[in-house]
Parts: sequence; structure tokens; C-alpha cells
Amino acid sequence: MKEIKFALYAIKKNIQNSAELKTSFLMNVFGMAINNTAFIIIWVFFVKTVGVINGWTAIDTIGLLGFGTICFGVVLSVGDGLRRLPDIVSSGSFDRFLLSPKNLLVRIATSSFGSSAVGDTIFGVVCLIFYGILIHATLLQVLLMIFLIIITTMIFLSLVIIIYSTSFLFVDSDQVTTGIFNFFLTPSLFNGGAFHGLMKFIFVFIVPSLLIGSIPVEIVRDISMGKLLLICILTLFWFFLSIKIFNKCVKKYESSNFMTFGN
Amino acid sequence: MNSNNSITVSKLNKEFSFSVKKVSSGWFKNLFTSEKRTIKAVSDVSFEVKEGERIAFIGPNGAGKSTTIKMLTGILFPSSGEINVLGYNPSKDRKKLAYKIGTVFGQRSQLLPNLPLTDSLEFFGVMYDMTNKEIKNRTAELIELFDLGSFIDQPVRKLSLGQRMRAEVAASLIHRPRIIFLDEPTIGLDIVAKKSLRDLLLKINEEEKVTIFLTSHDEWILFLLLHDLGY
Amino acid sequence: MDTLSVVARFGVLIILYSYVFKINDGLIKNTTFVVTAWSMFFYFSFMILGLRNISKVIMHDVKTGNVEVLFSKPISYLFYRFWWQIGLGLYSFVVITIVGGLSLYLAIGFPSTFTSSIFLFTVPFIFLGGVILSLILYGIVGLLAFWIQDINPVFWIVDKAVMILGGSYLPVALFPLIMYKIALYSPFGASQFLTHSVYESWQSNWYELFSIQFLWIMILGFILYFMFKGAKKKVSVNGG
Repeated sequence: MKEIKFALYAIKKNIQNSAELKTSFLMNVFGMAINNTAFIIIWVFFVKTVGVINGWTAIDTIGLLGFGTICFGVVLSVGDGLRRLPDIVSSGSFDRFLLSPKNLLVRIATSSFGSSAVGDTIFGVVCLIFYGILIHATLLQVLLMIFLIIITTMIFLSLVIIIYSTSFLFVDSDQVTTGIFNFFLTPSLFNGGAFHGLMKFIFVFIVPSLLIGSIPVEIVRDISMGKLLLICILTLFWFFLSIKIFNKCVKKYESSNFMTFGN
Repeated sequence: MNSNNSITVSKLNKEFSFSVKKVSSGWFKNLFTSEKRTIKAVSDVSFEVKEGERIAFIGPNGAGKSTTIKMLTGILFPSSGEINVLGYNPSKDRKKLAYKIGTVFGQRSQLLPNLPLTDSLEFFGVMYDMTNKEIKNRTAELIELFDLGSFIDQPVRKLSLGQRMRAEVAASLIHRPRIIFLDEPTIGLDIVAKKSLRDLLLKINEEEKVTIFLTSHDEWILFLLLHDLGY
Repeated sequence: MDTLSVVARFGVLIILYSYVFKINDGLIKNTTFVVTAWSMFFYFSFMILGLRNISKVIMHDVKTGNVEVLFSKPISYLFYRFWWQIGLGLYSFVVITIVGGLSLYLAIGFPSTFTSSIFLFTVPFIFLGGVILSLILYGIVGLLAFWIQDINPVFWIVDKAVMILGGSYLPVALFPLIMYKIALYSPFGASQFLTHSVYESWQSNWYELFSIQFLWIMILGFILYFMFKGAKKKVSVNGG
């Protein structure tokens, strides 16, 4: 309880501390509007030219973007500190976090607020509302959507934790983390119908990109309880794995050569 | 362990190992293989610090002073040896120990740069689970004690180095720690600021009975120790 | 590692598109899979050059004050950084382009357009133009660091625009008309004209694309020049 209280307080303080909040926020809303709208245009047109693949309509791609951008936005605004881990570790600022009496992971995540990701969250919510209207969602589907927002956010958070934990292992971690992050994100924003067979297996079970995009859409669309159960189990798996990996990687901090000697 | 001891350290060792890339082999080979090298930063250190003492680690750059402080505060795990700080093992009880100690790192600010100092004090107060009333009282106390009144409303990044260092020490004392660790607190300070910091440390040592443990490559620390001899 | 990720992403997209084309009997909007794949290959291979990183390098120089040190050296700061950036990515670029190109050729073969004399003659120049325009574009973003504290939002906007208009998710040939127009007339798309060179249409519109690219190089080049002058003044007046 105290942990949560402080985490919320830290987020509040970060927002106050971020001097450039207004400009960066406005700029991102602008950029987000262009970028995400372009994505929608891409996929709507994709479906128009290519046709419906494996039941994936243009409407479904709106849902896909909705889930993807909400979890992206929530995790990288509230937990922006995680994305700064490569910098925090290589500059040695990590010391400060180790001296805090609060949970290390929560403390790092909430140490910075990514105002720029707020735009993505808003966009995602708008997308999902549209999606709900377009598919004439029943109450059950609405509840599923809300539940799946939580689920996808948890998966995305776990993946972000795992990816940025590698900051403790590599010297040039900024490039490494960006590389892995983009690799993870690319398939998640891709039309879900194009994945089949081995590709689908890989991006569900090994690299869980589809869990934050096309699988939730399929669950809502088909009201598939089997897939819901599967995604819940995989979420728990990734969540606990991420915490384990983080704790293991933190131990590496001491034996790395990032430390400065003497002073 | 003697019950009067704040810190007990015996046979402390710390080695760092890191990989070295061979210049002669290509980047591809370097992706997979690298040579391991080990550096001994702290070797067989033992000492005891009593409650309320003032201790200074003096030595040139690279002597292992910061490494020792980082092991005492739980940032680094020792390679071997025993550490006991206020009854805790820092590498196991890092969080519990954090409530009892304060830290200041000369090269690294812990304050929120774009907000006034009071915000940082409040921030740390909340971090250490203090109530709003406790934070308010303690903040007033520290402002008085450290003479922070003249710059309390300015954003921290606008403070001079001397002012900032006083602010850092104040912030690390918000939760009434029993020991304060200072790593190179005099770095970059001029002689006047150094003296003011010294007076301050002596004051908190006397008035709040805080154990002081600091490192420096700077001889001014001698003043701090010589204080006991009547200087 | 960054290179590895780019290669992996390319691989994933190629497999996805091969499937998409297969269920459409191999032809979408009169474009074959082979042409699409090579167009995307050009995009990713160009990306491996890593010219976009120039923004962050400049921002870092400004933030750390390193820029003042470099300003005092008897070289042009911008050119120094441009060459530095090219040098950084060149090795990976050459290796990946050769290895990747060869594997792609073995897997799906060359499109017929590759053998046309127009293609062979123009491709080095459109590539060069793309390099210059990218450096200028991302250089402008980097120089913004002299005026605004955090250039990251701007960087994201520009970078994503280049990414989408360059055809990283959807190949240019499959663009809807309005997006194709934006890709054609915006500097973001113009920096990636290399990806257009594979298509049939290149035979007839290559000079138009060259002119657009050249125009953007001139316009943005001027902007960069004046921004750099302003930045120099700022450093000498305020000390950075």
C-alpha cells in the first residue's frame, strides 16, 4: 500500500518536474495524430487492395491499433523510467535507486513521466471506442475489451521490463534495447490476418508480439474463451518472468564495468 | 559485534571483472568472444565505527573509497567479507537499511532539478513514509539548521554548487537517519563553501548525534577530524 | 545488434508479405511479390546506414557541451558529424547489403526492372541523394537542440513519417493515392526514393523524382545552413 502511495506521488511530482511538458505534449499529440492516422489509412487500404485475409477486416485493424497504442501509451508514460534504464545504468545514476527504501522496479519505472506517450493512450481509447461502435459490441464484448486492456498492458509492461533489463548486461545497451524493442513492436502493429502457421506460433509463444494486438482483437471479435484463457496464462508467465529477469540483471550491476573506481 | 558500533567491517574484498575486446580480431569475433580481466578495488579492509563518530576515508583517486561506501550502503555486493551496518547486512537488507541511513554523492544530485528544494524535501519525506505534518516540521527544522531560507524558492538547478551541496545534505537528513554517508562531498567546492559544509557536518554530528562517514581525496577533511583536538 | 534487429524485422515482413501475395495469386495492384520484396529490401538496407542517429549525436553534443569543443576545432562541425555518421554505418551497410541482397536473390530472384539501363544508371544517384537528404533532415532535427531542450518528440515525428512514407510497413506501390502523393512530395518520402527505383513506373517518372529530391535538398540545405549559423552565434554569445 505504501509502495503504491509513493508511486502515485512520484508520478505526480515527475509531471511537475518536467519543464518541457507542454511543448513536448502538444508536439506529440500532433505527431501521434499524423502517425497513427497513417497507420489506420495503411491498413484500411491494405484490406481494400489485398482483401480480407483470414477474416481480418479493416475494422479489426482499428481494434488492433487501439490495443497496441493504449498499452504502449500507458506503460511508456507512467513507466517512462524503464525506458531510461540504459542511460540510468551507464551514467551510474542507478546508485540512487538502490538507496531508495522503496521497491526498486516501481521506483525506477515511476522516476520519470513520459508525457509524450499520453497522446498514444488517448488515441488508443478513441480507436477502441470506434471499434466497439463499428462491431456493435455487446456488454460482454465491452467487458472483454476493458479486461484485455489490462492484460495487454501487463504483457507490454513485462516485455519492456525484460528488454530494458538488458541494460545491465551490455555496454552499448541503448542500441541493443532499441533494436529488440522495435523487433518486438513491428509484428504487433501488423495486420493480424497475415500471420499463420509457424509465424503465428512464434509471435504468440516465443516473441509475444501478437498478444498485445491481434490476439485481443480476435478474442473480442470471436468471443473466444479458449484464447482468453491462453492469454491470461501467458500474461502471468511473462509477468513473473520479467520480474525474475529484472532481479537477476540487477545483480549484474555490481560486476559490470560501468562502475567508476575510487570516485 | 559491540553494541555501540554503527558499522563493523571485517576482511572486506571487492573485485570487478570486465571483458576486454581484442583490437586485433574483427567485430564479428568480438561479438562472441572476449577476454575477462579482474581488478581488485578493495582488499582485506576491516574497521569499526562507533555510534556518533566522525570518520573520513582519505586517499587518491582509485583507492577504493567510493567502492567501500557503495558496499556499506548496499549498492554493491562485496566479493567476500562481512559488513554490518546498524545491525543489518547491506546486501541482504538494503531496503530496511535505507530507512536508517542518508547518502550524499558529490558528483550526483538526488534533487528534482526543475522544482524548488522544498519539493525535493517533501519528495523524500513521502518516500520514507513520513506524514505530512512530520515532513512540514522537519523541513522547517532543516531550513533553520542549514540556513536554506535565502534560496528555498529557487529551482534547484539555479543553485550555486555550494548551496546545492547544503541542499543535498539537508535532503538526505529528512528522515533523521542515524548515519550519513558522504562520497566526495567537496568536489568542485571553493574554500568558503568547504568550510561552511564542514561546520554543518559538525553541527549535525553534535546536535542530532548523526554518525558521519565520508570519503575525500581532499585534505580539508583533516579539519573535521582535528576538531576533536580542539581546533 | 541494431543491425540484427533490422534484418530480423525485414525477414518477418518478407515472410508475411509472401503469404499475403500468395493468397492473392501473386499479384496485388499489378505489382509482384519480387518487386515489393526488393523495394522493402532497399528501405531496410538504407536504414542500416543509421543516418537517423545524427539527430541524437548532435543533441548529445549540445547537451554535454561537447559542441563547443568541436566548434573550436579547425573543421566544420556539421561535416565532421556527417562523415562520422556515414563511417559508423558503412561497414554494416556494405556487409548486410551484399549478404542480404545475395540471399534475397537466391530466394526469389531479381525483378525484371533490375536489368534496365535506366535503373542501373540512376540507382547510385538516387541513393546518394537519399543519403544527403536524410543527413540534412535529421541534422535539422538535431540542431533544434540549440533552441528546445528535448528534441525527442520532433525526432519521433520525423522518424515515423520517414518510416511510414518510406514503405517500411506497406510497400510504396500499395499506398493509397493520397499517401502516395504525400510520399512523393514530402521531404520524408523523398529521402527514401531509392525504394521507388525497383518499380516499373520508375522507367517513366525517374526524372520527376530526381527533381523533387533535388529541390528538397536545396530547400532543407538552406534551412540547415541558416540554423547552423544561428547555432554558432548562440554558442558564441551565450556560451552554449
